[in-house]
Amino acid sequence: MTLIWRILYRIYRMASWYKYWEQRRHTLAGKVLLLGLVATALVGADIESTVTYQAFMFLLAVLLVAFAFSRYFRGRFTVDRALPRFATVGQPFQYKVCVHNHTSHRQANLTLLEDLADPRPPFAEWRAFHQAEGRTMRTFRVSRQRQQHPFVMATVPEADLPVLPPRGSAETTVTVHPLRRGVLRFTGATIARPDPIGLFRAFVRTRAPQMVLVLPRRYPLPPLTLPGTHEYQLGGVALASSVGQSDEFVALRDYRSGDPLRHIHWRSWAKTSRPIVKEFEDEFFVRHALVLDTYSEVPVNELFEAAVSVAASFACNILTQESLLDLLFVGSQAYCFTAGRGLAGADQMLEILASVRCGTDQNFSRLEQLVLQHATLVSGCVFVLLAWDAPRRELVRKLQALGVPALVLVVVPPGAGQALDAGPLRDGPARLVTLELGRIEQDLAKIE
Amino acid sequence: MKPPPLLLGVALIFWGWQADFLIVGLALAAMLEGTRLVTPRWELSDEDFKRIWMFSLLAMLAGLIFAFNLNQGPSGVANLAYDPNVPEAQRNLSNASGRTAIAGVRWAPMIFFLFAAAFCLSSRREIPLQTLSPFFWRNRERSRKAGVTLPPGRTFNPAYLYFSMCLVAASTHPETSAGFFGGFTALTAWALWPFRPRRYGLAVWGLMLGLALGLGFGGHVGLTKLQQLITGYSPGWMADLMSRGRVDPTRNKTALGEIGRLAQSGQILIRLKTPVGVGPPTLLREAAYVKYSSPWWTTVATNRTFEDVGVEASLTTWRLAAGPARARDVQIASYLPGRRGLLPLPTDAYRLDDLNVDLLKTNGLGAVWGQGPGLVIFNAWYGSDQVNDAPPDWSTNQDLQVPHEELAALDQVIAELQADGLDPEAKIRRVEQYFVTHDYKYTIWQRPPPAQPGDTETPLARFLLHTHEGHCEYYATATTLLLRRLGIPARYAIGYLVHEQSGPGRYVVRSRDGHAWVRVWDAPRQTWVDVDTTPASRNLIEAQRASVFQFLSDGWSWLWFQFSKFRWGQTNWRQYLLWALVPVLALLLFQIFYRALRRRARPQTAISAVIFRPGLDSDFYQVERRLVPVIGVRRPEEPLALWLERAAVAPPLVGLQDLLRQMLAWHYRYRFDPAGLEPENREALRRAVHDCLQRLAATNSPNS
Repeated sequence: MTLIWRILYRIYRMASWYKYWEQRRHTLAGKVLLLGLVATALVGADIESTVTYQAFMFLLAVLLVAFAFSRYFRGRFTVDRALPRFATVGQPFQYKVCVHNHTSHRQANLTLLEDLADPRPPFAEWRAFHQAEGRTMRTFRVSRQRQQHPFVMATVPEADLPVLPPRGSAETTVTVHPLRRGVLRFTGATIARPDPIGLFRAFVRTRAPQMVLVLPRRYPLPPLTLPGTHEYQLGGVALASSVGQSDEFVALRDYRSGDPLRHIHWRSWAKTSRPIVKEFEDEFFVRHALVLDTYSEVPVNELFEAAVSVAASFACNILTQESLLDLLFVGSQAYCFTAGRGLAGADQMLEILASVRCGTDQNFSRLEQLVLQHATLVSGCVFVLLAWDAPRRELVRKLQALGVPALVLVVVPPGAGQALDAGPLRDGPARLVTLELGRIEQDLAKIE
Repeated sequence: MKPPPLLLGVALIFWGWQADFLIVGLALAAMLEGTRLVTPRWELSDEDFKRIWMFSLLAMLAGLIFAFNLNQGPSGVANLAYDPNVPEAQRNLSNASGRTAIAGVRWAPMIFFLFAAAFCLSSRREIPLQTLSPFFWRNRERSRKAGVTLPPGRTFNPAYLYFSMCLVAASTHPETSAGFFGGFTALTAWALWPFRPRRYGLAVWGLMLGLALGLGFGGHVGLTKLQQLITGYSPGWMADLMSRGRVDPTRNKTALGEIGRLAQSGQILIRLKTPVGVGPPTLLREAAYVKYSSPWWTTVATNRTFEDVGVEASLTTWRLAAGPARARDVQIASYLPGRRGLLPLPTDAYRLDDLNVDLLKTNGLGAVWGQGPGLVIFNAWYGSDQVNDAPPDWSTNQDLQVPHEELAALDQVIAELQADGLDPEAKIRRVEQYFVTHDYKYTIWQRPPPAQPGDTETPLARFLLHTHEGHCEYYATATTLLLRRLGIPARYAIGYLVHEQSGPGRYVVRSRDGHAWVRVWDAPRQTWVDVDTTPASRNLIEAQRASVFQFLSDGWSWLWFQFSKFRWGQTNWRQYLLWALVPVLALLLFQIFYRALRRRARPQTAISAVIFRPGLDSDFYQVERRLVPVIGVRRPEEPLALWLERAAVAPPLVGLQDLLRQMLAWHYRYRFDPAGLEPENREALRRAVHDCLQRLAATNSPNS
């Protein structure tokens, strides 16, 4: 079976390579002529019935001549991009590219093609994706579509360059359409020159590695009153704006082993001849956990992308100067990132969410363990889940038993939002929110 | 990019001219170009274009159905369903389908005119590419509704699509004239003009197109010549080319005089199947020749003409000659490389059954030439005196002619035979005996002759007089010429020797089984009979040439044979194809019903979900309820532990203090611990509650 998968993977790589090559090598007129060649080949196979073969031979000759004269483009160019640091999925962005001509010839009719890193996944990931997708596809069903462009990070349309003077430079604007979050890597740029007929292109490639971090899409959220109250934070928050307890003085007391030296009240010690320390008010503040479910059978899927987007929307909205937000998820290991009160901002949280990958071979109990460990610290939990099955319901039940209120957001495929049972949230069904793909913005607006 | 003005109109006129729709073409061109004179434009949406395109596609479908009916397509389908083995019906249906497709392409400019006109009258410059495909459109819409981030859709200008349609439609006629090629190239150059890169001069652009024009013209002229060459070939060198080394019915070059080893492989060429207990024909003939001119055996002009063989009503039975009432049959499977070639047949075959070929011809020398699938499997009936070979032509005596240069050697042998005065039968036996008594040997290795200046001895003379060693071609040629010299008409025949059994009633013929022998005229019976003077050691020597890995090539050959049977329709699989659809349809129906059932079952599952609160089913609550009448209600500020301490001093529960504490600990864990209570402790809690309840029950009983 593995051999068949490997053969299919080879075919996939060859087909995608040809598509990439064909899209870049042909001009628009070249593509039309190529289609004409295929059409005339089909119609003119029988040369006794039609004269289509004459059209076929002419089109073939035009393409061959164009191909032959599209070779040997000797040019030397460099490019400078003014790339932004961040971009957002689904939000096209533009940047300027300055192309320098290092030859002593005037260069006209050139086209700039950006070279992105090869998005094709390695064999194991590709197979896992198709096997998982195959499980959701039904035989003989044409209504259920397969994912389009599952691995493409972004599309960058070609840009026509203005005339480049000898040893001069010119600027053009390139538009990028990010399709997936993550690191968008530019490996270089290709300067293309058409052949005299205008069908094929000759290439000069130049290295110009750069990158843009594509952040997840965010949705607007209504004003939220998240569950939970102020909680005592033992010893304060490490690396917060103020270390340890708050600055509010409460009283003096005898020194106990472990008290910090800077809390010793020296004058009282001098008066009483025994060590006395200052006691400050304990810290109580709101701390929420944002739990992102990363367990999915399909490695690349829109459900998970939507869940990340919802998590990103909450990360941007919950974070204030007065509260903390712990982002909990499980990747190759269990992660907990804390932000707020001077620790980290929404931008850092978004950077983390831009790189989260979903896991197909993990055990949900790891996430359960992570959440329960943090349950004593947090005032409330916001779950962004990919399913509402028994293990997930059990986790919410245990949290409720510990007295931690939870807001559960379940991202479901289109049309599957009505059949969910509230389970442990039956007492407060408003805390279980179903987010249907394609209607997430409307569903989020309903949160009370 | 918009096409240049008037391009579409001229393309339509060109189509009308070439496709014999000139009036229609002129009218459509006038309407389309007339849209430039109209200033108002319609605001047509993508949805509008999609509907117009779908309407055009339906119109095209209707046009195709009409054209199929016009070309007698339905009757072709009915004939095919009635008898799928009839090649005529297959050919008719194929022709009808081809003509239908050509008609569809030819009418396309008329059918899609509405779409082109709508675009020209709209304010749009381009429309989305997915307009052309309902599937792409629907998938994109679904993805968009599902919130999937999609790349920007590609757009195109339909005017170029319509222009291409006109050009291809204009080519769907068979008349080759300069008009089409000139018009096509001119219009293509016109369409390419706006796309030319400005960095090159006009001369370079023109030069490139001129070069392409020359290449294209040369290419299509060359293609025409090649096609003429292939279709009008004479059965000479082209037969060699097309038959990949198979036999030319007009001439055969022997290896007489060649030095070294004969190169013949063990590849299986023919497979035979006979009824169990019946042997196969010893010889399978492919061709026979009359005239010898070293090293060639050829036919003569009068025998080169192939004539059609009569076919019976079933269209798969071909009669070569009159046959006897009782005869034998053999099933023969043979490849026809290039879908045409000579059939290997028993020399006295008279009827061929189940032979699914389009054309079958035979010449006067017994060669049978067929054209059909690349593999034929048929039954050959043989055992008749009425053979397919024409009797000797006594007017020209061509079956008695002997080359002048061979006369000396032949006469020397005939002198040794002392056959004067014998009848023809005895002469034949005397010739056969001659090769045995003079110790002639079979060999596939020919040594170079000793170098002697001025030596003019022919290879055949050297074989007869000196070496006495040779392969079957030497024996067959020598025997033919000797018998002719003795006044008996004889012909040189080539084909295969059948001797290798591959199973019960099954035989295979390999490339190295190629053989040559003699056809001799039997005057009393007025027929031709086979005479083979090649020594019997031939089979042994040929078998020694088999490779040790022959089983591998035989296995591959069998696989290829099975595939060829399927490919060329020589199996009954096609009859079972419809039956094969049954499980597929059953699976489809199962899926549909299974899904429907699952859909119905889903809400029931949701409704029957159990409301679950952790720990509410704890057994400890039974003890609590039973203790209330004993020690009173627990006060609101009183923790459960203190209340139990009070209970422990009550008479029925004295001594159970530790157990009550333990029960409470288990109950708390079961009720409030997120990790829950272990099964063994849960069981222990049940037992403890049970004991406790029994003690309480015993205390309250009237007997206590």
